[in-house]
Amino acid sequence: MTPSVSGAKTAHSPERREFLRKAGITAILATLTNLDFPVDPASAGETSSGIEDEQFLAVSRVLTGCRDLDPVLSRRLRHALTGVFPEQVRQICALATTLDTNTTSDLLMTDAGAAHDALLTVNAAWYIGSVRNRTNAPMVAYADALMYRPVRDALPVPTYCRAEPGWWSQTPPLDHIASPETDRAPPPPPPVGVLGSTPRQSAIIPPAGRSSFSALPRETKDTR
Amino acid sequence: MRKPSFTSGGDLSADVVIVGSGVVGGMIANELVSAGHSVAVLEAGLRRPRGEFTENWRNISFHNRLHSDFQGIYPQSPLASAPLYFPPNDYISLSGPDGDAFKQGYLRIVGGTTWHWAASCWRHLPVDFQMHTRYGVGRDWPISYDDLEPYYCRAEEEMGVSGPWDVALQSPSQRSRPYPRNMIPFGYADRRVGEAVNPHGFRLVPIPQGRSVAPFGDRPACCGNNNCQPICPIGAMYNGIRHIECAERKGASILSESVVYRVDTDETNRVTSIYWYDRDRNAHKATAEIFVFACNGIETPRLLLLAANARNPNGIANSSDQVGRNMMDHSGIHATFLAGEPLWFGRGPAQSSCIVGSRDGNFRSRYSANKMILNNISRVPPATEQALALGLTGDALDREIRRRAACGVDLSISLEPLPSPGNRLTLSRTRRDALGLACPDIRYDVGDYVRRGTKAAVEQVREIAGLLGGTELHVTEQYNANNHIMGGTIMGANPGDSVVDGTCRAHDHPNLWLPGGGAMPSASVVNTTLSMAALGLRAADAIRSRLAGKTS
Amino acid sequence: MKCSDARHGDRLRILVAALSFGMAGSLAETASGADATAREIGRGRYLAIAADCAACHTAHSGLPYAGGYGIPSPFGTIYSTNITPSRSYGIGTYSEADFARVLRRGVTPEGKYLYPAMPYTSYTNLTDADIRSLYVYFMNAVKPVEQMSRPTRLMFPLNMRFLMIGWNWLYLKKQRMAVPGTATSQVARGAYLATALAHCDVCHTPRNFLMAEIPDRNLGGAALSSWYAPDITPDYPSGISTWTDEQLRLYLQTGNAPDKAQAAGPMAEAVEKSFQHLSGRDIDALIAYLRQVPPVGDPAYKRPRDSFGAPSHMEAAIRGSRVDTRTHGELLYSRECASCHQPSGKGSRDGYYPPLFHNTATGAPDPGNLVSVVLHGVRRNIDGRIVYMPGFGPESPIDHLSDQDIADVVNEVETSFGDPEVRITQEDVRNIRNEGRFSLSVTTERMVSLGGTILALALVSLGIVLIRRRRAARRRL
Repeated sequence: MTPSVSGAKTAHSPERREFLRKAGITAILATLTNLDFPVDPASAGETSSGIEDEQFLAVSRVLTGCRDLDPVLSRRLRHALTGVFPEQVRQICALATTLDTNTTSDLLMTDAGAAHDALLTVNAAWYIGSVRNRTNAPMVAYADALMYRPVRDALPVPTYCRAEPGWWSQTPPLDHIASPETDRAPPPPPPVGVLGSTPRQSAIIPPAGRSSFSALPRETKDTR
Repeated sequence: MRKPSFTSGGDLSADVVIVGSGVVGGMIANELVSAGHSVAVLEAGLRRPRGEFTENWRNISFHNRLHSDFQGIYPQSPLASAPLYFPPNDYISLSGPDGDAFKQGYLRIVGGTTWHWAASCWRHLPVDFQMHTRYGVGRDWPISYDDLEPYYCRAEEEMGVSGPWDVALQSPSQRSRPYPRNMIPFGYADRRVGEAVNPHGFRLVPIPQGRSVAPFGDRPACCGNNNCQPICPIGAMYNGIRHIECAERKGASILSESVVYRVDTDETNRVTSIYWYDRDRNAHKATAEIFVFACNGIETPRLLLLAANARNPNGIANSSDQVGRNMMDHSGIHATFLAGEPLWFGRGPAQSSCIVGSRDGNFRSRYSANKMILNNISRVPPATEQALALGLTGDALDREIRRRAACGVDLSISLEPLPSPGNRLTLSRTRRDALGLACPDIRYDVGDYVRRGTKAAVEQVREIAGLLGGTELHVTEQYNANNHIMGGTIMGANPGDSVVDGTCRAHDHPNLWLPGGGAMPSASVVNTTLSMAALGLRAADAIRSRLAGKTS
Repeated sequence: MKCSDARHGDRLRILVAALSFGMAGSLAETASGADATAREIGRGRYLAIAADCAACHTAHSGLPYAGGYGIPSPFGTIYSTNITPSRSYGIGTYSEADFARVLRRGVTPEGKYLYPAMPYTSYTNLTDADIRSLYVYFMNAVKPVEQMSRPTRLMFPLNMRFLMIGWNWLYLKKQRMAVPGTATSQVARGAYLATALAHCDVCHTPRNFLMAEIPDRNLGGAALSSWYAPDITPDYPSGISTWTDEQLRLYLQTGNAPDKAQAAGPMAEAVEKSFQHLSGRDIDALIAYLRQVPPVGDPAYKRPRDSFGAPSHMEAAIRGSRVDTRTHGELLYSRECASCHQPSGKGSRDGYYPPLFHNTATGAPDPGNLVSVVLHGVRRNIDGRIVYMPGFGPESPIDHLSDQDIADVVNEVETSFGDPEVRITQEDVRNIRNEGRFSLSVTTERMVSLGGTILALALVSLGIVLIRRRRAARRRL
């Protein structure tokens, strides 16, 4: 057992969390530099623990409230997150033992303690298919991202056809629109369809082909 | 059928050589090859299949999608990259009070930027051609709406535009022919917003669009997969690649990864040949009767400046010193809010209706007109981002995503800049691309005309949000680019203060045409593609007459 | 866009409009004449639709019944003729007897022998009354088109039309079809429709080396250029025994039997131009007839074609993974097919984009129809509503797939949704694309055997001609 695992059982200081965050970014850096992020366990030759996969899936199902999460997707998501946030994934798996009593998402969150942020990370990943706020982050789900489920009676998953041409002129479902969940207003949404201001960039090295234009030597062969 | 001829060394000779393979270059190529001329098209970027773009979009991270990284899914040639922003590649250096408002997203790829447009096919208003005469601001065009009207019709036919057959819903209604197809049917959100705002003078109309709900020729029907931007996965939306492939089938040669960098002219300032680098950085020469540069509003002026020669020391076509000046875009703002009822934007194509009540009026002598597109791109990603930011999970998260996706509104507000010589593209002294060619620098100031127009637009937005029971109204404070690049090769009657004439031919060169957005002397508030295409078809007619005169 | 192929749909639209306009115009003229003629014209129009004359005699961009439609054969393209009442280029000078002789015997008034691309072996069964109605319709209600249709030039020796004398001697029945006395009137009507008019057998009955239908395999399934017209006898598993009447009805009237089959290629054309316009009673009669023909069966079928496949869960396993960890077929499926047919292959919930499993195109042992659909797409105009899928071949408006690409994506679709034993190669796709044949070897075989038999046929025909001449000479003596 590695020291970091034993450390996972104690609450972390903010410094430790910051360190782990940076470690996560470093991991993204390393993987993207190689363009070789192992989101496919089979291709990565992972020695994945079946128990951890089961734990991760079980906690995810309670957390998201979705009983039908795909085990294959879960395994790939756990693997991808382990590459970036190994500590958080361990925290999630550890929560599997609490599921007898934490039978709902709310109970799980209330009882999360130090794993609170980890749960939000994993929850977000299930909903959006990758980690939040990371440019060019690895991703594992598009149409299977859970964010499309609460609206599937009304909206297509973009890029996929929904029904015969012109279907959208029908009246959409106008019921089941809840009241706001909280008085707090989140930050405004980014404008759609344009680049308002360049979004926050994670500190990553540009993939190949996106070179800087500052000081490149002239190597052209002008024969004339 | 005449075809370009190639030497063993890879030099080419054709009746017409076109630089740029976007909608304008493609349409001109198709027109001229159909008329029996040999045509070659030189494109700086790569040639890639549609399916690859679709798959890239599904495979990029949520964050890139949330922030509309439309550029990032299009592979770029390492020798000729488009501006990229995730992360920024600094291809274009921006300065001036509103430099950040000029972060343009155009593609350097075979088929051009209409790969990721939304297919809005607007015409300028007749009055937009006479801004100086009518309102005492900006410039007049040397041609009238009536001169361009037949070409608008042809461009609409070429792109298979669906627009309202109901005259009351047309903007403008001065038309010699009906739209090829009737309007794309409104969605619920379009109808509901129209009911709420139209009694208050806002005038919501259908956007004329380059797609249709029944097959158009071999183009499939739009099935509302809501992904026009950044790629229509099923080819239901018109893309410039259609005309490129059409021209190619008729005998045009399309050369990708071919970066033009030099222009030779003779004693009468005819262009005799141009030179390009291939993907292995080898130089080649193209000779032709006629040359057309249709490389987009930034790349065309850049090329003209890069190719300065002894006879044209300030750049090709630049005796007026106007090349690269008067840079314009519909510098815009966005307003978001939550309506007091579900509207369900995100059903159907990415853009469907637009508020045009402030497209024109006497106020234009004082401040900018505007138009407000009801953005119809799915609200699910921003709704999810916001709901996650609230720390919600489980059923509460689902309810909040649904509420925000159903009630969320995003208005894209376009304003009209005036041509100003100070808004200028120049060549960088320090930054060069991989071929050693200078990168563009652009200084940009939207101007007080737009700033005053913004104030009026924000007042209108507040009223609209109020009419829809809006909460969480947010208006962006920084102007955003809309990729409608205009002005850099401006059209005019006087060769002393303009670059091209009414057919988009360079005043300085008898056989060089510079059609496209760069020629437009007034921006109006509407998307430029249809006007660019119409100008391209008009240029093609002029070129065809020239070539016919030659052979007869 | 003025691309050579770009306006197909519009042409079709214009064509349909022109067709109905032309008919309406001529009808108005005749309405002033006898009511009996008007009734006769009405019958004739219905019969012309049931016989689908326009399918071959109206070219894609051509005027109604002006001919020029090319029917590919191994010996060259056979072009259909102008059958408008033009006196110079059409059938304007035909008497009713001439008209009957062409339909029933395949011989023009000038004595020219037609190739059996014209289904006179079917029309020989037409009743006198129906021939009369057709004649009245064509002469009075079809607008004459003053243009010559493209001449047919087949390769030697089939350019010698007199060879058809021998062929007819062998294969053209002398008597009209006999319906068993036990048949109900509905079955009898169905038999007449299927055999004399709709000529189902022309596509669905396999042919021998001389391109003549094999009688004991009537409607038992046959290759038709790159397409395969399946067994439509009541056989299990290859025929229609698993289809309900409602499914057959929907298929014939709309081209779409949900969760079972969608018409493409020549069958889409037959539905579009003919079956959707038939009366419900005639459709039911056709079905009743098909239910009682002898089952034929195809040993290649192990299970009904629509019984294969299930939704795919591949999306969860591949999304976001490196491109090179996915097979080329998986990648192409996601890129080119999934946008409409969905990652699961379920199609759209309203069935407009059909599921790829439980689909006769993917469950057939012969992948010809699937490959043809990928290459050429689907187009059916049903009651003014166009069902359209673009093709993905070299002229595709969407993406151009190479032969290898198409082989890969077809194999992927077969594995995930269809008969997993079906495998095709790049060469198969090339053959289908170039020659409209699934297997080059089959074509070659056919050509070789033809060489010998054509010689035999030539001798038979020569013999018949000599005998006739001798008889004629004797009569003269």
